[in-house]
Parts: sequence; structure tokens; C-alpha cells
Amino acid sequence: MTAAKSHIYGLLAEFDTPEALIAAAEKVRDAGYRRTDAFSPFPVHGLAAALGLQRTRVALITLLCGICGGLGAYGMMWFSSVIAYPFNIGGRPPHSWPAFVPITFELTVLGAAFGALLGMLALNGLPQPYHPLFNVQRFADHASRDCFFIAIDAADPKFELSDTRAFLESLQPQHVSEVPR
Amino acid sequence: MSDLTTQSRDDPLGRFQRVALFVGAAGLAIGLIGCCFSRAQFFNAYLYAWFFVLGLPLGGLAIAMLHHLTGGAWGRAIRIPCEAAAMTLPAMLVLFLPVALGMKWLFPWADEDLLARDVVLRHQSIYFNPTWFLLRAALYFAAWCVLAAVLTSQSREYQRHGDERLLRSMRNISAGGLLLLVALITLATFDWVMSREAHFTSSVIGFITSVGETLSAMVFAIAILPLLTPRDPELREFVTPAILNDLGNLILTLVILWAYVSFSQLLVVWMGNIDHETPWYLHRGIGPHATAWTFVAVLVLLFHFFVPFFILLSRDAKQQFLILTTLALGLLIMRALDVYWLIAPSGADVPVGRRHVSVLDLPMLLGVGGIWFYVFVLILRRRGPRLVAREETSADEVLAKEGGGAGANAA
Repeated sequence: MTAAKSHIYGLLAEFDTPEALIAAAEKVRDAGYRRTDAFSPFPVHGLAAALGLQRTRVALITLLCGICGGLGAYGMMWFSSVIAYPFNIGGRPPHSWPAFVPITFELTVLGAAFGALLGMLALNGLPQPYHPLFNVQRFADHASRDCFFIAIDAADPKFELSDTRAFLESLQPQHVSEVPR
Repeated sequence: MSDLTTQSRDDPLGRFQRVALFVGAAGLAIGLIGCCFSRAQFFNAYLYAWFFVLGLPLGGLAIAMLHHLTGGAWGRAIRIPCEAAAMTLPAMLVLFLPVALGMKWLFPWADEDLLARDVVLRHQSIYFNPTWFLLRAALYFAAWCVLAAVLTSQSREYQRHGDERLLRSMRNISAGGLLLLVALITLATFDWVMSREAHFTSSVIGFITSVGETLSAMVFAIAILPLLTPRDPELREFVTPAILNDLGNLILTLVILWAYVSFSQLLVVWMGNIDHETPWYLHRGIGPHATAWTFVAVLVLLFHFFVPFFILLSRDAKQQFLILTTLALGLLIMRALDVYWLIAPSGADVPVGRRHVSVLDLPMLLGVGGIWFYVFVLILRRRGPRLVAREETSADEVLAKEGGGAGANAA
């Protein structure tokens, strides 16, 4: 850990076309950088694969929350109508399972939806009022309009300020900027 | 034509076709022998087999029309086999003959003794009587055959020339045709399935059948992909993980929809708890006492819904050719079991349902299914060697590209 590393967030390279961005992202991935991110004004097809992004655990969280919701709902209804307060409704048995299914389904969906939303927020750290990338004026002005960026985090194990800078320069970007914290 | 015979030696489709013809002939022969011993068992087994197999052409027609309306790369991989399946409808009309002959063993309203004893049946006889029954069947088949013939001939024309006007025409026919198809399948299900238990009424049962038949045709078209890809290198190239992903999602959608509509009928009957509705489910093992049909119902619930549902949630599973086609084959078998559970427990031979399972059921299924598959392959071969349907929309390109991305991500 050098002193230079601690006061910068990372390096940011700017490109002028989505094709250049993808080509650069592939080289960054192949060079072994992992803590990277790319920014573009519109969804660029194949960018996630080019960056080598791993699939997130949101799907697993969603599944588990959905199962909890379903089991919780069925268990709640079973407990209340079989154990706590058995009641003869139109001659049906206390464990009237077809009647339990709609609520079980609803709470499965509810659990899964909360799992997906809160799991996503927990994993990506949003909402985030401050991000160092906006310290770069060109990023603030152009990232959502007409330019394409790749950022390499200083926390990346392969990050070495001068080497990484030289590597990014070799990708023929428009600019390479240091991102202050 | 001569190249077909030389080709057929290493052609799995041709091998399966010959096996199907043999199995079909053997099944029908066993059925005819059985017919000498018990008319009731023969005709009930035959109705089951015929009604299940009918789901393949009707579902194929539904998928072809859906694809004309929505477009999408997925349909290009399965639409030509679906159209070939739909073109077997005239053969299904010929195979309807035993159902017409066996009415009195199949439907309580066609049995004089039952009719004399049952006031509900007498009330229904204005609609359920042999003349109207046959007239309606003729009407259903006329509409289905015309729809299938017109759409398939236009689709063949389009495959050759790619004329924009044909595209519009096929879309217009499909929009009205799909509505007509669901309406006619509903009426046909009343005639051939629901009227076997005179006291039971359900307005959703026709839609359950429509969804089930669409699923049957979808999994059939996917399950035979391993037989078709050796014939057409273009198809082999075309069936990418992205296409398999889309097909897997469509199976998942249909499985969920089938479970949803099937369950909603059960829920309505369960909550209503009325004595003319509940016997339908009591005969099918859902009630206070477990029967052999309970076991069948649980099998259907597990392997027609839960197992495919959880497998198809996984992107890795549905993008594998082997896994998806095996799953489709398994689901096709479960479709046959679900239709069995729908049809077999009712019947005219015993006063209120509870027909005993017959040893003829499986031979008849293989018999009608084998003959049908033979005819299906004949029709499919006449479509020519190319099995990937021509692109129908420019939007197709966009969708194909998006699908391709999903595949690339997984790879």
C-alpha cells in the first residue's frame, strides 16, 4: 500500500464509442483486473460479459426469501386453523389445504419481491449520495450523455498506479484521469 | 425422393417413424383383440388415447398462431414441426370414428338406461344427444382443419418467397383463429370430457385443456429436436443456448399457467362444496379418502408442476440441449398421465364414474400415438429439408440479438 494509493479512488479511462468500450473492457478483464466498472449513457450489449462480471447472489436471496414467505404463510394458516382455533367451516376439514394455497402463493411472491429489492440494495450499496467518480468533471458532464468510461478501483490487487495508468493508456482512450477520493 | 431412402439409414427420424408404425399397429391390434372381450374397456381406453393425441395437433396449431402474432426467434426453431402436427388434424378426424361408434359406452347421455333414470341427463339431452354431438364434432374439425390448412399453406409460401402480404394475412388469421380455437376446444372438452360426468359443470375446463394441449405440443416439438437436428445443419446451428433459454421459459410459463387454471377449478369446487360438483374430484382421489387416483394426482402435481418448475428456474439447466429435451420428454409423459387422470375416472359403464383402469389403456395410447407419429413424420418430410422457419419480423432480429446476449453471458 503506497501513500499515493490511499488518496485516490482509482483510474478512469474515457472512450468515445461503445465498441471501443467493449474492446477495452475485454482487455482490462484479460489483464486480470477484477474490481472494475464501466459506465455508458445507454445499455451496451455484451458489456457485462466483456468486463467478466460474476452473476450476483440476488437470485439466491430472492429464492430463499420466497421460500421463507411461502412456508411462513402456510405454517401460519396451518397453526391458526388446525392447532390454535380449529373451526368447522362448511364441513371442510381444519387442514383445508386448497384454501391455504392462494395466501401461500401471495406471501411467496411478497417475500421474493422484498428479497429481490432489499437484497439488491444490500449488495450494491445504494442509495449512495457521494461517489468519488463525480470528482472527475468530464465524468460528471458526459457519463450519462455521450461518453463511455472504464474505472479500475485502487483496491484491486493488481492496481499499481503507474503500471495501471500505462496499461490504460495503451488501450487508446480519449483520456485517463486519476480519481481523487 | 431417392435421396431420402439413402439418407434414412443414418436418420434417427426415419428409424423412429418405422418403430412408431410398428408399435402403433401392435397397439391397435391389441386394442381390437380387447374389443372382443370388453367394448366398454376398449372404447374408454380409445377415447383417452385419442383425446391425448389430439392435443398435439391442436396445441401445434395454437403455437403456430401465437408465433405469427408475437414473432420471436424461439418460434423459428419449432414452428415447422408444429405446423406439421396441425396438418395431422384430418387424420385425427378419421381416428374420431371409434369415438362416434362407441358413444354409448363413453357418455352417460348416450346410454338409454341411464337416460331413463336420470332427470339431469334428460334435461341435458337437448344439447347432449348423438345427432348434435356428431354435428358439433364435424363443425370443430371443419374449423380446425381449415385454419391449419390455410395457415400452413401460407407459411410454406412465405418460407419460399417471403412476401410481406402473406405476413399480414397470417397475422390477421391468427388473431381471430386463436380466439376461435380456444372457444372450440372449450366446447369440444364439454363434449368429449366433461359430459362423461353429467352432473359436473366447469366453465374453465376448456381453457385448462387448451393450455395443456399447447404445453403438450410445445414439449413434443422440443423433445423431437434431437431427431431433427441431424437432418438439418441449419437447425443445429440455430438452436443456441439463447433459443433453448427462450423455449425453456415458454415451457415454464405454460407449466405455471396450467397449474394456475387447474388449481383455480379445484379451489372453486372445494370452496363451493356442492354435491353435484365434488364427485368430479372424489372420483379423482381428492377428498377425505385417499385412493389410487390420489397417487396419480400427487404424481401429476410433483412432476407436471414442482419438478419442472424448479428445474426451469435455473438458467444453466434450460440452456443445455440434453437437459431441456429430456425434461420436455418427461413433461410429455406427464401430459399423458394428466389427461389420463382427467378422462379415465369417469365413464358411462358404471353409474357414477369409478371406471376401473383397463389393461388396454397403455396399448391404445401407444397404438394411436404410434400411428399419429407415423403420419406426422410423413407430413413433416413433405415440408422439405429446411426446418428453421423464415424470419417474420424485423423485430425478430432485435429479439434474437438480446437472446444471444443472455447466452453469451452464461457461456
